[in-house]
Amino acid sequence: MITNDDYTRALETFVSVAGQLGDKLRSILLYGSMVKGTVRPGASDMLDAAVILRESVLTTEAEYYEVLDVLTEACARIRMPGVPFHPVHYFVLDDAGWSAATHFLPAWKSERYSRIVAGVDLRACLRTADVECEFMRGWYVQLSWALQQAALAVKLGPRTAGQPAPSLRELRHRLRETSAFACFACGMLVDRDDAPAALVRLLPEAQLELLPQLCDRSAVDGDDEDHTVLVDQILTVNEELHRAVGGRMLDRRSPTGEAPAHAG
Amino acid sequence: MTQAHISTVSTRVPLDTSLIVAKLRSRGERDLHSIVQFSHPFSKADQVLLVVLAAEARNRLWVYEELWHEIVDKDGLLCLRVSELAHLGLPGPVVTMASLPYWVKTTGRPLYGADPRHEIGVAPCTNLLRYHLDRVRSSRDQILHFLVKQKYRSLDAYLVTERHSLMYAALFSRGIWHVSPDTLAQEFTAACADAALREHLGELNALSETLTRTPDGEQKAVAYKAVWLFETFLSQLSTWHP
Repeated sequence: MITNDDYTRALETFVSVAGQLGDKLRSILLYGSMVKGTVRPGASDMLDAAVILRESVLTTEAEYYEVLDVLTEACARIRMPGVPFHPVHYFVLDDAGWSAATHFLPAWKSERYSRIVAGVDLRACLRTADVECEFMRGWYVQLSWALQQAALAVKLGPRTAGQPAPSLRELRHRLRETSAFACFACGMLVDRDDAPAALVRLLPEAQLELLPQLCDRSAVDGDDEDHTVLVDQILTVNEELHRAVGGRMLDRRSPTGEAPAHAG
Repeated sequence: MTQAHISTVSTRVPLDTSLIVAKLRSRGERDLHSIVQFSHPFSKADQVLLVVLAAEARNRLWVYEELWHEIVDKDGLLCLRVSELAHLGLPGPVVTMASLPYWVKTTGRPLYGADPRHEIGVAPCTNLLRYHLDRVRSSRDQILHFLVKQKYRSLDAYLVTERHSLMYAALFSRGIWHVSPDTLAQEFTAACADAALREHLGELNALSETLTRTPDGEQKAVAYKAVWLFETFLSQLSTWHP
């Protein structure tokens, strides 16, 4: 049986193996459920972490191969049967400041949602090229559309025979992702778990009351009849969100008229 | 995010556009602004239908529900409010979606209502390549995903897909829109002034072919080389910015 201790031991193992990189390793940043204290043993990802490396590893072939060897080994050592596995991110920071895709920054820059488990704290250096959240707007639109198509496939049947319809769990996951990107599209960089409630507050003109409970990670779904209702609710909430966020996007400014803010 | 790629199943069945227009008018003519049919080389549908609703339309779901079984390819139907037409060209993770305005404008055929093509802009997003470079550099966990599982051919396929995304992004960011999967390599080579980058691309393509011929036990070294060349490609491409 998987326990919280397994996650702690996996983190220790990962840090120990990654430590073989010596001075090529600048920092390891932990984020996700282990930092939030919301690990669901057996269901939470193993392991949400980002490794920051010395810049020379991306310009020296032999160094890069060593990094691949060590990180592959470190990831392989923490895989456990039946536990969702998520390899770590790795990147370098250059003198000009590295640009991360915006959607990672709310967690990676946050004192509340991330923790340094090895090396030095470089979180303040992380930044994005998408300062106006333009890419996030496009990303949101594509996610919203993909969620709509997936939910319609459940409701109306797959368009192509033999194509499996997504599960309700997958629809909930997609709605959580879509909600987070809806926040980013509005210039509000919040942690993913905080996004549904933030949207309810930000978009009072939309009927989003059901959004937080539809996004609830701990929700247990009932029988087939419940599923039909839930799929309809997901479709309706997604459509409400799209209409409201689309209206905000027309303005092309953050809700406060200021530069995007990092929460946490 | 797992990239939301457009569907891969093609029907190749011509649409009965008269029937479609009649169905939509019958169900919700009051909300209907226009209907346009156009070609998009990245869609598996022969023709894509763009249904534009009035800005005040509360809901778009009825359009999809009405046509769900008429249009078999999920990327064969797009429905937006007229106020959302600018969404069409937004830069997103599926890079080829950014070219939609170009294809609507150049191949669109109005089927009903006002012609929305006049309201669609085709200005390139000059930051598109930069966004995609950030996205790819933020997704190196995918490389480890394949290495840990020793799925080296899948890793190469992933790198090829990302390479193509970046090549599209580079071209689109310069306003070179008339590109299809068949012409991507040719258009990229023609637009790329950097001889080293062109040569590098050739090396990457050759390595992919090598990997397909390499016995299972010897693929790791070739995969590492592919990852290394891909990193160099990212670095070279970062100087492409207009």
